[in-house]
Amino acid sequence: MLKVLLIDDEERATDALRLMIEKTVPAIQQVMVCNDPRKAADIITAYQPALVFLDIQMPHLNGFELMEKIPNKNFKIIFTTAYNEYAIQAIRFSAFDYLLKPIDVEELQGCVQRFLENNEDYQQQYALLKNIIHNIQAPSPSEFRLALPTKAGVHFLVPAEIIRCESLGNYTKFFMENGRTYLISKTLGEYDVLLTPHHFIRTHKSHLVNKRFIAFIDHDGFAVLKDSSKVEVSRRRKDEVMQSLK
Amino acid sequence: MIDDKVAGVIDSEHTRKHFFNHRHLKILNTIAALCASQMQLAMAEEQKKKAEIELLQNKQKALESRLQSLRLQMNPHFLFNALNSVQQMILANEEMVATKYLSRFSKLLRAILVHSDKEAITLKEELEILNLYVELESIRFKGTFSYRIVCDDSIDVDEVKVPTLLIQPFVENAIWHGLMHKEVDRQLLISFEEKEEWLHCIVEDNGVGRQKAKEIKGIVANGSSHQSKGIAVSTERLKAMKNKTGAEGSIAFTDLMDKAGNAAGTRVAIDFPIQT
Repeated sequence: MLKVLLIDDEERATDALRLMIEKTVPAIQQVMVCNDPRKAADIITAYQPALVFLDIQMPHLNGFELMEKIPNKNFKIIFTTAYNEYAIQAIRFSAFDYLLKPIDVEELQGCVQRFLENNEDYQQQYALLKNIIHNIQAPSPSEFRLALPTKAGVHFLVPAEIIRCESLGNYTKFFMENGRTYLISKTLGEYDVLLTPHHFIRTHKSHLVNKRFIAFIDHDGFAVLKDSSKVEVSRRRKDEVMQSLK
Repeated sequence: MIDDKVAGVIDSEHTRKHFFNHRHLKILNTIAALCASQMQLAMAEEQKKKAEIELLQNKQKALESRLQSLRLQMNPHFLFNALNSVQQMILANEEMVATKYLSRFSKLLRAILVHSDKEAITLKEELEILNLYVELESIRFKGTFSYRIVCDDSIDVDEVKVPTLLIQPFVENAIWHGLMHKEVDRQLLISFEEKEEWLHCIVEDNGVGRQKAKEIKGIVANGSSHQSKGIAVSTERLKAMKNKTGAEGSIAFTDLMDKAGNAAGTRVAIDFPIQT
């Protein structure tokens, strides 16, 4: 039996999500609501939900502070927020699930489906949650850490130490300054969106490169990087790449 | 020669001495004049293009800053929360509430769009925006706070002008950080008075007070700095408002205390010379 808890200070917000779950997500049999974040910890202990939908901005205790107060987080957390660009960036850098209000039915169903299909690793979730809090508290997004979840565990990378990413089908390979590489089962496009604001440039459909590591563009049109690797630059992107090196 | 300046020299040499005669000179002169006029044309065209580009860039800048001010005036967090409550009303089959809320919301959005590019609007228009904004928030929070918006009868609201959406950030701040952290009996008061060519506006809440609100803000402060930005913009605009004697508009925050000395809310007094 799947039990969920909705935490949001705004009654209309929990009401909307509860009604939407009741009407469109038959897999969830029980919905409990909490409108006071200060009471949430007790409710979680007593009710033992499998899934918690958690608003970020709340009076008294925000979503992150609340989670720090709960010792055994053996439930999956899905953040909900109406608008908070900074927090959303921090969450996306941790590969954490979140929903934007007003919530899209299909996105909600997708979240629940993923939860049902995967065996949640709550230790991993805890590491990712800590990373969100690290990112949120960072003085600027340049100090965000990017979480790369793998079966063996999560790697946390500083964007400035990533030389480049390469697309290998549905996988992305990361090449680090210290020579390490990581193979992650996500497409390059997902990292393109995240890393472009961190001085990365898509030189080719298979390559995302940290601009700081580009040494020069050779006569054959390849970008030569400071670790002396060569990366293809597509003809259409050449001008943009040259421009960004100035 | 272009505009009395030498643009170029045609230098001709020949192995035979005294080869060039007057006819040669005439031909060369004509060629030089033709070249000069072509060059002049090209230069003029280039200048025209440059001016056009500059004009476009200026227009873009103006548009960007206008959008920026619109974004500052209307907190996106408020917009999406408002839409979220409409979704709730639909799901809960509250047709009448949803209909009313949606029409108020459109009115507010329209007023903001219409007025966003104006530096100042009439007090009547500003009051209407404040009324809509506070009413929407009151519906969203299911009437958990009460409010009064009062304007002194002696003020000619059609004539008195106020900087567009100057007061709204203070009202938003009072609701979100003053009142929402309080349990019961939440009250908001907005008042306008006129005294000797000055407009006095008070935004007062009986919430938790600024000190407490600041402590609570905690770690998502980075993401929720919108309000402080809105207030900073309003403060800048007030400073720019000077009367004939050079006196500037001002903002004063007062932390209210009850008899026992506990925090009992915040009063913001906004004063500025009346402009018509």
